[in-house]
Parts: sequence; structure tokens; C-alpha cells
Amino acid sequence: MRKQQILKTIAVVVASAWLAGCASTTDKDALNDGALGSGLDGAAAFDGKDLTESQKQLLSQRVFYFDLDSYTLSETDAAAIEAHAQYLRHYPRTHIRVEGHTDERGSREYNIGLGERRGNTVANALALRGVPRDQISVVSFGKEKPLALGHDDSAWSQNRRAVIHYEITE
Amino acid sequence: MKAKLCALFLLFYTGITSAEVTIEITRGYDAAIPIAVVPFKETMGSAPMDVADVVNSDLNMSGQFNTFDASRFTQMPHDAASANISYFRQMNAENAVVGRIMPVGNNKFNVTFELIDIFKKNANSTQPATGNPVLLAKSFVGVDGKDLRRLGHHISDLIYERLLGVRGAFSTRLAYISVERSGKNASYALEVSDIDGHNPQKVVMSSEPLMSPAWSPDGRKLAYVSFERHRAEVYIVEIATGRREIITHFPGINGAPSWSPDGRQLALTLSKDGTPKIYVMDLITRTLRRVTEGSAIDTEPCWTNDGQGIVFTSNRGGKPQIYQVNLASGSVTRLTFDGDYNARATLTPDGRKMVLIHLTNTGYNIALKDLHSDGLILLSRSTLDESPTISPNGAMVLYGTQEGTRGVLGAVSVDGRVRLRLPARSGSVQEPAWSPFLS
Repeated sequence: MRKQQILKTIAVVVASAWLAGCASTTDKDALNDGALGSGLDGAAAFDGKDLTESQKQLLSQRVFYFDLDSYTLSETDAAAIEAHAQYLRHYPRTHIRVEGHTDERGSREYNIGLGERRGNTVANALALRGVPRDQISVVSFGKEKPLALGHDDSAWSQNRRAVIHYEITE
Repeated sequence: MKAKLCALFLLFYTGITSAEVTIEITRGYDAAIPIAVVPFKETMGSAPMDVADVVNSDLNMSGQFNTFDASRFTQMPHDAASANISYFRQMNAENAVVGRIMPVGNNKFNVTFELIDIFKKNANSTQPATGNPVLLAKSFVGVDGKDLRRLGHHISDLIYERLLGVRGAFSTRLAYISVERSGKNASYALEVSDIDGHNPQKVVMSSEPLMSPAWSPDGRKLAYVSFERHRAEVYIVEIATGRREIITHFPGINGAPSWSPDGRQLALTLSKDGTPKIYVMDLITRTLRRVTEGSAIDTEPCWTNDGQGIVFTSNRGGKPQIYQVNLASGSVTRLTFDGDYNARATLTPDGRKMVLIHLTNTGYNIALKDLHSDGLILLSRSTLDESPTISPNGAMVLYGTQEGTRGVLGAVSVDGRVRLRLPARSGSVQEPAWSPFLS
């Protein structure tokens, strides 16, 4: 069933890419409004009438969480990754910055290294789906920008993440 | 063990120039020297502050001395000749400091002090007519009112060295990152203060993270990492002027700057070639060379004293451990073997030991490891300790830790005997970096 959904999504994206190409200014503005946020603002960025609800839903997922000591994406993230890949392939002037984060435990600069691995995981997943690597930059913040400030598993699991930020296109 | 009111680590209360703060020495040192620092204040006239207050706080904060509250003194001699030795003996003081501040006009002052050996233990002392043994006597002429605090730190250095045989670090400074959070936003500053927390000065400010401050060996500059352009970049800032220049801004990680002992090179972490590796940049020619290889994360470089090697963190063995690379040959040796997580090593000034972050089954602690023997000693006790920095006389370690959800600083002596809990301020303080000795 998932494969059907993905195929349907691809069809929708292809179709909307066609139509959206004619409304480039609107797309850019829409991208700017939502895309420069933290990625948790939901579907606001992709405002085009051309996108279906399920497309918007997938593209609105900007945050990908990781288990402790893990640098691999969960299976449940595959559809969203695919949606981002499709979008980026169809808008080759669109650039994203993937930010990698860790939880607060341990040394700061070593955590910068670990955060980069998480960012690279998302970048590589997109590249494997045909997104040219020069559309993606990876920045690691290590533990410097936590979302949750507690000292427990709940906070830590919210902080182990990679976040996609869509940047202003030319 | 006494709880004392003093200006210890006057914590970084930006804008508040004289906050009295309670500190607790949580683990006192039994062999701490009781020293009576007699206020100079009756003589001070129009002087803006009593130098003796600074001396008293400094000696107290080192953990190596037991000091007395100024209010304890019912006799306040201002020179050794008029000091009543039996008064100090009944207080159980081993040493006393007496002195004067004399205004000479134009907001300038002459300051004198004498360090007295109450029990005449020290054979090496001059003997004035009354027989009071004076270990140290100095005068300072024409000191500006604004420099009295600095003079106090200098006098503390002299007393510390005279009694302990180790150079005092009271005239050094601290760099650190301060963070103020409100909701989802945060503002970051790279700040420098006196070692007791006075005179905080924001050197760099940003709405994006700042990290990893590192002092140049001459104490005039700081290298640091900034995310102000939404990517990691290494800068050097000249503290006195605020002038800064960007050093590296390659794609990927630019981090963990560390100055060579001669100040001519900077080691740092770059991931531009695929994974984080250690590089060395010549600061004159700006040429760059990579000094570690492989696909692991190598980071947190720290130079050895002879400038021939770099100690660093690497997970090339699976988990983070400390390694050392010989810069000439490129050969790498592993230094830590205890436990699964050892990171962020800094060598002691004598080059024989290092402090680092070590994970135990209760959490992340600061540990001390002798480079030539097995095993390590835990210095700190909480669960989220990080970023150790050592005083240039090798006596004390400052580190970052948590109090609630705020970053605060902890301090512990390298011999582990004295542990200081430093009070929190508004906002967070993290990544302390102790300056070198400053001329």
C-alpha cells in the first residue's frame, strides 16, 4: 500500500511541478515564508494549489529523529524523504540546508562531529534519490541548539534530530 | 569548612558591579593555611576600594587558605612593627597580611603591605626590631584608583607564591560563552572577565551559537567558532579592540581551534574532505595541512608543550578515546583505555597529565589522567560535566556543568581536594577557558 501511495505522490508531484513552474514567484515566496523556519510549522510553506494534501503533509515534515547512538533514518521517514527528493529534483535552483543535532550529553565539539553524521544521513538519502549534492549543504550544531532543555530521555530524544531548511533561491 | 560571604567568582552578573555572593567550599582542604588578611581600610581615605578585600577573596577562592571575615578583627595593625603577634596566634592564624592605602592626590594611591609569619616557621625572613618575622614587604607608588583591584590580585599572587612555592593565578582572566534564552530564541556572547568574575566584557555577540573559545599564548586574542552565518566558521578576535578576522570557513565543520605553544599555528577540526580531521594552519602563511587520516571523527586537538604533538579525540576505535599524533612522523598512539567515552583532553602546564571528560555509569565527569601511568582519577561528581580548563599554574580546573536547566561553572583543584560550587547567574555560562599568565 505504501508503494501505491508513493507512486501516487510522485504522479501528483510531477503534475504539480508542471503547473507550479508557471507560478515561480509565488512558490519562492511560499518557500521563504515557511522554509526558513524550524521545520515544525507544518504545511505553511507549500502553499501552492497544485499540491495535494498528502503531498503537503509529506513535505511539511522537516524534522527527522534519531535513536541514541544512531545515524540511520527510520523506515517511517522514507515517504517524506522521497517527497523532498522529488521536490528538489523538480526545482533545481532550490537549495536546502540540513542541520544535524545531538542530545546534550558529552563533549561539545565531538557532538558537532556526531551531528554532522545525522545531517549527512539525510543529505545522502536525498542524493541517493537523485538530488544533486550541490543543492544540499549540511551544518552540524551538535548540542548547541536544543529544542528541549530537560535532562531526561524525553528531552534527549527530541534533540537528536536532523532538520531540513529550505533556503532562499535566486 | 566555613561558608563565607565573599566576592568569589563574582559570577558574571553583568552590569552589577558588586554582588556579594555566598560560596560554599564543598570539600575543604585540611592542610589549608589559616591566614588573617587585616583590612587596610582605615587608612584608605578616598580610595574606591580596600585592596585587602580582593586579597582575602582570592586566597579564599584558591581553597588553599582559610581566611577570616573582615568583621572578626578587633585589632587592625597596618604594619608588622605594630602587629600584636599573640592576637593572631589566639586566632590560630599562621600568617597575617597587613597594609595601608594612602591617597596622594589625583585619584592615585601608595599601597604597602607586609606578609607576616605568625609562628616564625619560615627561617628565611627578615627580622625587624620588634622581632616580627616578615616574609614579604612591598610598596607600590602612584597606583591609579581604577587599578587597585588589579593590584590586589597581584598581591595575592605574591603571597600565594611565597607561601606555596607555586605561581599565583589571580591576575589571569576567564573567557566563556554566555547564553540567554527566551522561548525559541537565544542570544550568545563570548565574554572575558577577571578570574573572580569581575569586569565582564562582551567581546563578540551573536544570535547564533558561539563555541570553543581558545586563548592565544600571549593572552591578547581568542580563537572561536561562530555560527552567525548559519554555518560553522573559525574566527580570531583581538580582545582589546574587538577586531576580528575569519580564519576558516570551509564547507562542513570548522571547529575546535587550538593555538600552538608558540602562537604561530592553529590546530583545528575541518570536515571539508569528508569526515572531521585535525588540520594545522600556519597563521603567518595561512597554509593548511591535514595531520590525521581515516574515516573516523577526529576532533578537539590540544598541543603538547613541546609543540611536537597534538592530543585529540577520535572514535577510530569505535567509541571516543584520546589519541596523540606525532606531527613529524604522523604516527598515532592511543592514550586512554578506561571506559567507553573519553574526550576533550587538555594537558596540564607541566605536560605530564591531562584533564578530560570521562563517562562513568553515573554520568559525564571531569577526570585526570597521568600520561605515563594507567588509570584515571575522577575530579568532579555530577552527571553532565564538560569543557574542563586548567589554570596556568596547574592548580585548579574550571569546567561546565548544569544547575537545573542552566549552565554554570564548577571548580575543583587538580589534586581533587578542594571543590567549589559556583553560584548561578541569570542565563547560562558554558565553555570556560582559562587565560595564560598575563604580563
